[in-house]
Amino acid sequence: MPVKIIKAVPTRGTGKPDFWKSAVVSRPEVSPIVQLHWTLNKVYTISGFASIIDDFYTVPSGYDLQIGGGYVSCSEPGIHNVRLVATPGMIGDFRFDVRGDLILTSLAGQVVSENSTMTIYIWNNNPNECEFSLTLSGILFKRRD
Amino acid sequence: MVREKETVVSIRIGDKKIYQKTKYYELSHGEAYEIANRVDAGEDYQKVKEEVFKKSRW
Repeated sequence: MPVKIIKAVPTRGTGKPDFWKSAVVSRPEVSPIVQLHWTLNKVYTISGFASIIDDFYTVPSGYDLQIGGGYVSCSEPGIHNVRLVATPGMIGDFRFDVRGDLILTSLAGQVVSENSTMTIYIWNNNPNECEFSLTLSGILFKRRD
Repeated sequence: MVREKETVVSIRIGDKKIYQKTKYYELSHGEAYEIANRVDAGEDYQKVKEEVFKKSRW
């Protein structure tokens, strides 16, 4: 009769083995943040000494928009005025000549919440009809609920 | 006097580009300041806009 050789398994201490159900560590689920580049460009034609008002963008639901900056420019000189507003809250009131940089850094950054509408007012302080352009850029963040 | 005008907006979201025709309103300096100032003072934007537009409708 052949002799069975049984190899003894060395013990690994007194604890329960790793596959033991209660040894499985549960981790909280973290959904990754989705970020999308966002840029908007719009051109307005404004008569001499007139103004415009425009509800130019509504942030899609499920996202917040962080505006990083932008600029406004005019085809003719004059100290023009531009005001950006979100509902609720003011983004900024800027005066510029031919070109104005809207610097919205992390210190002066603006986060516009989902479903908020942004409005722009432009005052043309030149007697002639002018073309104004608005460029804004930022990041759309997916909200974590 | 409020006038309706039209322009094109271009928006880029991620890899998607959107071009669409949109409307905006041209008005006098005084009317624009009236809306801006009343909204700053706490009045409802839509309500103020409607009132000013109604007053000076073409």
